[in-house]
Amino acid sequence: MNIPTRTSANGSAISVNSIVYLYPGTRALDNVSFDIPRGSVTALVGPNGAGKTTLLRCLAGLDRPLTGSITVAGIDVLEEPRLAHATVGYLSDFFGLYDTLTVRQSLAHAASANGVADATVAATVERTAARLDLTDRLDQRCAALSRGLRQRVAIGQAIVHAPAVLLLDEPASGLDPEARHSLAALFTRLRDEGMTLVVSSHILAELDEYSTHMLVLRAGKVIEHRLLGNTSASVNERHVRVTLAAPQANWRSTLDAIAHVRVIEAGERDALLSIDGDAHEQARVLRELIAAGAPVAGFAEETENLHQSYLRTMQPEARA
Amino acid sequence: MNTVNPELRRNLWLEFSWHRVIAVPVVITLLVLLIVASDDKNTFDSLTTAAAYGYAAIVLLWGTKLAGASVIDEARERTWDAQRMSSITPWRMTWGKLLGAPSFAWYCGAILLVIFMVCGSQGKLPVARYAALMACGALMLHAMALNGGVLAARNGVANRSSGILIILVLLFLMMVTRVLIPDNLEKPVTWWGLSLSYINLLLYSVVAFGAWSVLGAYRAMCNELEIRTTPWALPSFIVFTAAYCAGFAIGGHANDPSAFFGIMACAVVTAMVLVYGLLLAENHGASAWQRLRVRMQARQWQRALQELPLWLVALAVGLFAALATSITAMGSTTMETLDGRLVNKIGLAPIALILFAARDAAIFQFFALARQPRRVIAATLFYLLLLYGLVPGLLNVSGAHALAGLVLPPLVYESGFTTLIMAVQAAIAIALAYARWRKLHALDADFRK
Repeated sequence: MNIPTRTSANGSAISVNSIVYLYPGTRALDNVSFDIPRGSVTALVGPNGAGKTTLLRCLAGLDRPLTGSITVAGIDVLEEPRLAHATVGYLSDFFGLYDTLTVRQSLAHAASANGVADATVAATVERTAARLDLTDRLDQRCAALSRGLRQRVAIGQAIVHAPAVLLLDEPASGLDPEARHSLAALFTRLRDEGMTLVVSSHILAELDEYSTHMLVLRAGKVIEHRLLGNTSASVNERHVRVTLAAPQANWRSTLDAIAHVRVIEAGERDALLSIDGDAHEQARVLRELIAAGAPVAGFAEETENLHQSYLRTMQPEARA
Repeated sequence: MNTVNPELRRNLWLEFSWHRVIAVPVVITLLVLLIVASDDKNTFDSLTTAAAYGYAAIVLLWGTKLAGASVIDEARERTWDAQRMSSITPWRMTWGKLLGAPSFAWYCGAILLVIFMVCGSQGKLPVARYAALMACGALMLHAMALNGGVLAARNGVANRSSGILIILVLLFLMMVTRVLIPDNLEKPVTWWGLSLSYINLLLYSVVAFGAWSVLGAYRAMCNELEIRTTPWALPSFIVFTAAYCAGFAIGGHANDPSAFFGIMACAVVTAMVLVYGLLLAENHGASAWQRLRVRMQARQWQRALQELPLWLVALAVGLFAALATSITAMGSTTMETLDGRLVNKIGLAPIALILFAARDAAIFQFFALARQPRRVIAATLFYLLLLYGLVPGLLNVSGAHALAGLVLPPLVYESGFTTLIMAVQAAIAIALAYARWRKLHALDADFRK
């Protein structure tokens, strides 16, 4: 099928600009802005009541914020919500299935309802079922399925029309470890196929398996959005620890002379640098250090897992 | 686009099984045999009556319940979000639900309708017109229920008792209809000077209001599926209903000045009924007003129109009609079909009526704009009970008639003074609601800082 995606101005899969969502006397989303790159998996984390579900519903075009703009796959969600729906798959935290329908009927309805042509519905159902290991369950009624299998059917319904963006609200809640693992494998596969995922969850260890970015919400505000596996606070910034084989004279001034590098801390034989850019930028910094005569013995990106990142972000002193 | 409406097909999957398809004709055949065996004199009459009652119970009552619950159940079972995100157009979704949700009731009803027509044709009944009336009437009721269901789901008032409520309302309507409709449906009736048989007028009316009901359900579905609509349908419906109702009061000619008066007077009443109905059905939270304010500040007038609460549109139409009614009433001596002196006495009463609706709507808004709105309808009803009954009643029996008139002016004063008092009451209620909204807005601004 033809999904009407467009190229967004900044090449992001999702672009959110200053959205405000009000509940009486409360700002569920307070001037929220961020960009999510294509092909990424963003872990949307934050305490209860932070605004995660509201944000996902706004991205899906199910709820309308008071002000601001949202672009998904190049489509303005607030101006053209119906068009945006065709590019988005959404799984709500409390999803429902038509219990008396079979898995095949459920997937076929989702496919037809999302514009898959009649002639290809059957093949689309088979393909989606195969992706989700549901082929041998196709003729079972949804009511007879376990929680994990129901979750898979619901995800199948959300991705049956091959959306560019998939939004999942607590997809692993209530699942056993095996089902969670298979869900993580599925998300990794979808990411590898080029789909952009935003996953809200409280189970950080599970998010760590497949997330590339972390977006932290608290009290309706974005308090951090960055690339994972890195201790820096920005999506493009990376922290790199440099270790020397021996102390070097003018070590600090050597570091300060390198362009696009910020020195976070510098000891006699090591330093923690913030490099604004990708792996090529890191290679350039390393080349310049060696050219300046620094006896570099170690040059490694500093990483932390999602759980560590989240806790560090949520610590009050970290916010000061 | 899919050749088969996906929503209709889903409903057919849900509603039909081989067992159900076979069981229904078998059971109906057994019931027919039972009637034939037990009644050897008026078999055809008995079968006609039984088929009509069976149809009423299955298609009119149960089918309407199913149509009304079709969206409510989805909202409750949490499948509605996926439907809202689907690419099914509002038009197809409306028909998919309208025909699909009560499809099994229609299947049973179709068999009963055939029995009704076959057996009824043995007597003097115009069975084809009766059958058309029954089918169109069912479609109209289903569309009305679907419309209500969409609004209920949108405002989160869907619950398990919704279906029972729909059936109770229908039973009430059926009782009222039974009283209003004469036994002899071939009796002539005059409408806008035309002499029609009751059955024909009824059939045309059901077709017309059925079409309005489907349009209403479609418009509600548009909003639910995130397609914005400008509010032209509601004023058109008010004018149509007013013209329809006025046709019974104004038996004479359409060019008579009393025709305009009649239409406007009926428009006032229709608008008032819709104001109260829509107040109960729409979302009136602060966010709806904030959205309107943002659009107006940005001078996006069409968007502002799209954000307007429909009760406010009905109130505006009602106010216009009330002004027109009062102005026409002042020159009422030229009227042919209505008693000019009687009309002249109406004075400003239509405006007072609309001011009553405006005050009550403002009271409703006052409670809806609370920071944590709870039991808005119950709180409003409590204060309306005080204003319409308890307080003026108590003042009246204690001899304070003037004071009682200040609370419920028609008790004591004529239409001019009543209008003045109601204008003051409406202004106070609107000011209170506005102050509450400002307070909420200020809270929101503080929160922003």
